[in-house]
Amino acid sequence: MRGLAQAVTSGLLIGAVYGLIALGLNIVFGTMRVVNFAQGTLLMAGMFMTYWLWELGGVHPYISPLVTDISPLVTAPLLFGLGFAVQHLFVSPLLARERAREPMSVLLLTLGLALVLENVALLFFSADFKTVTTDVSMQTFKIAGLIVSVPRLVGLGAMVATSLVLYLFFMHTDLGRAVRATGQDREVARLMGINDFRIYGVAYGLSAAMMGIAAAVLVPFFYIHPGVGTSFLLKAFVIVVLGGLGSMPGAALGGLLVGVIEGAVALWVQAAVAQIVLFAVFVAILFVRPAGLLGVERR
Amino acid sequence: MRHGMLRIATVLGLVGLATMWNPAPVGAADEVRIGVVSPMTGPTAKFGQAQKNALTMAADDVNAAGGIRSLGGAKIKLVFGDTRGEADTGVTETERLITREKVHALIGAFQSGVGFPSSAMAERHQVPWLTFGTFDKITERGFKYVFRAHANDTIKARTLIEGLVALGKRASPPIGSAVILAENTEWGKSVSDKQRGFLEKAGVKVHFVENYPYAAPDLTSLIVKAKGVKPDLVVADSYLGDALLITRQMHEQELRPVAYAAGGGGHVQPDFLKNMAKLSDGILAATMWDAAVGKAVPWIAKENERHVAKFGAPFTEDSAGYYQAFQIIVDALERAKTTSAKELRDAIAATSITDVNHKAMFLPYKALRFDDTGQNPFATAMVVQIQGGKFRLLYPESIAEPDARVVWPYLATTR
Repeated sequence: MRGLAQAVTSGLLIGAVYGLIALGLNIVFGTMRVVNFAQGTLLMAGMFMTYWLWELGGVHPYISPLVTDISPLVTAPLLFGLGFAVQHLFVSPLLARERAREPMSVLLLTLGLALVLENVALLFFSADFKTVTTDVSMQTFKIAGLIVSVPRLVGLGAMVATSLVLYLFFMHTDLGRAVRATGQDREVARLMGINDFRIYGVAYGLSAAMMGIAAAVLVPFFYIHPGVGTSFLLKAFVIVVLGGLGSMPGAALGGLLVGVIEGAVALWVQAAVAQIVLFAVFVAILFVRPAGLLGVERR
Repeated sequence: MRHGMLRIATVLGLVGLATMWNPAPVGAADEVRIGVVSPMTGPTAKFGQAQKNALTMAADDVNAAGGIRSLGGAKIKLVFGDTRGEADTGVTETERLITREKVHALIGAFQSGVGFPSSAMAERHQVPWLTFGTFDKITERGFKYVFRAHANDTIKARTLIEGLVALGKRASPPIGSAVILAENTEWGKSVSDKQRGFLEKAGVKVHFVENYPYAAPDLTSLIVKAKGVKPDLVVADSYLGDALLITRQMHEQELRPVAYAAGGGGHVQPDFLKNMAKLSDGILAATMWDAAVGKAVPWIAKENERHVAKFGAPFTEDSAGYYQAFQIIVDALERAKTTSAKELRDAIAATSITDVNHKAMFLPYKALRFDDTGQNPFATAMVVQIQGGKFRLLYPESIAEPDARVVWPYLATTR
């Protein structure tokens, strides 16, 4: 029983990190109707930035997304800039030519971008694995006999805080409302005077910036490698579909749920079986409730 | 007029290109060409570079000493084929080396997954292929031209378990039970299966073998499950990323077995030592070559020192294997007195070396011969232990470091 409680706890904690990545994926999907295959690559970029800031500047991963003493080098704004630029240089021109509401060519473009960036990373950073050992890296504490990993708990905290900030942003700011409006109906939003391409840039930038936060959370306990984004991206896809395409609370909850399913099944049966169960749930949800658990049915 | 000039220039250019494209390797009689199939670019490029270094040094030595004597001092030329670490590229490069570069023998291909299909290409063209790669089946296809001097997965698994048992006998507490955590690709599955067999044969109870998904973001549940059965021994067969994760999560979940062993892979890579610092102390692992072997066999130490002086780094497990393969070909060429494929193949098959000072014994065994499948039945692996961020060679005793002592249990110095 204690074993199960432990597996569920750990699942919940890693699930929070999945949720954080899924949130980023969902922001882009919610506004542009594009599944961003480059999400994992942006996470990888964030992790390398965090790594180099720590390695060369001694900046603690936890503060690197928001403040550092090397002022322009702060990962979240940098990634926002990168995301915004990618959107403007590559995605927008293609999107402008696409008439379909769910543009297939943009999806392929993001896949291409992911491959290019990953190989660039391989070229510059080599295939070496890197880890960062900070003061919190392998810290744990016990509650009722359960071992809780400090850096993973920080991940849960970061996910909750980020979700809250995002909620406030989407509900209570003009820009946030504009992003939602564009997601609901691009043409009407434009008629209302919203510059839809600028909004796309903001959405893509925002989702990239979130990868800076996810990277900060991951770096102290995970490894850094050009291919690191792939394992997380696949999970994030499942979560986004599970929680509901475009639904922010769905992504957060879906992340936790996937973490728990994975942990429990891996303990009861096998880690490899957990993957089967996970993808079976994914397929089942698509059949039974295509909009996902918290998604709104679109007509 | 200007167009006419342009046209002529174009034609001349094309002719030039065509001649460059087709260098027509006229087989100079005084030259032996050895093809090297390795990952020279791509994610595993640094391994290919190490292999190239080792071979370049070996070939320069032979050429400086007057080439192949029985062939009238024929010089050796290495021709490299870049696999990029991909199976299909490996196969095309092998074919290119054979049909265009007209190589007389081949060495390859580092990754078993690349070597497996590439060696089949060599067999088809009947060009001798010296394998580096541990996948058992490479030499189990009834081929005539494919050879492997070093350990395969079965031998590596056997050495690890025999070494563990032998080292554990002289230490306490003993090992009575084990779990095996192996990644779920071909390598992890086949190695863990063999380890289970050898453990059970040695009277160790194996609670479970679990093949976890490669590159998983989290393996806590796996560790919790292992902790539940309180094993004396944890065996991990992992690539580098998973090796890092498992080692860290074992620490977090307070899983501290008496012994922590690894089938090779990520646990023996320099990056693992660099990243894991204290947590790596006491890990036992199977490898096919370590520089520490030079302590028992002096000429190997000298050879390694020359390599360090030349390239700034010691031989690696795989570059040592390539070096050995090269020396086997040289030895066979001297005996064959020809570069004809059939005779060279027969000479390789007839290899029989027992002198530890022979250069082909860079990976030292009791003997170097090939059985009917092309495998050297006398090949063994070694067991090393990480102590203070360095590998110490502990097993087999014949080549162990004289002053090395086993650290027992795992993390003995820090718990």
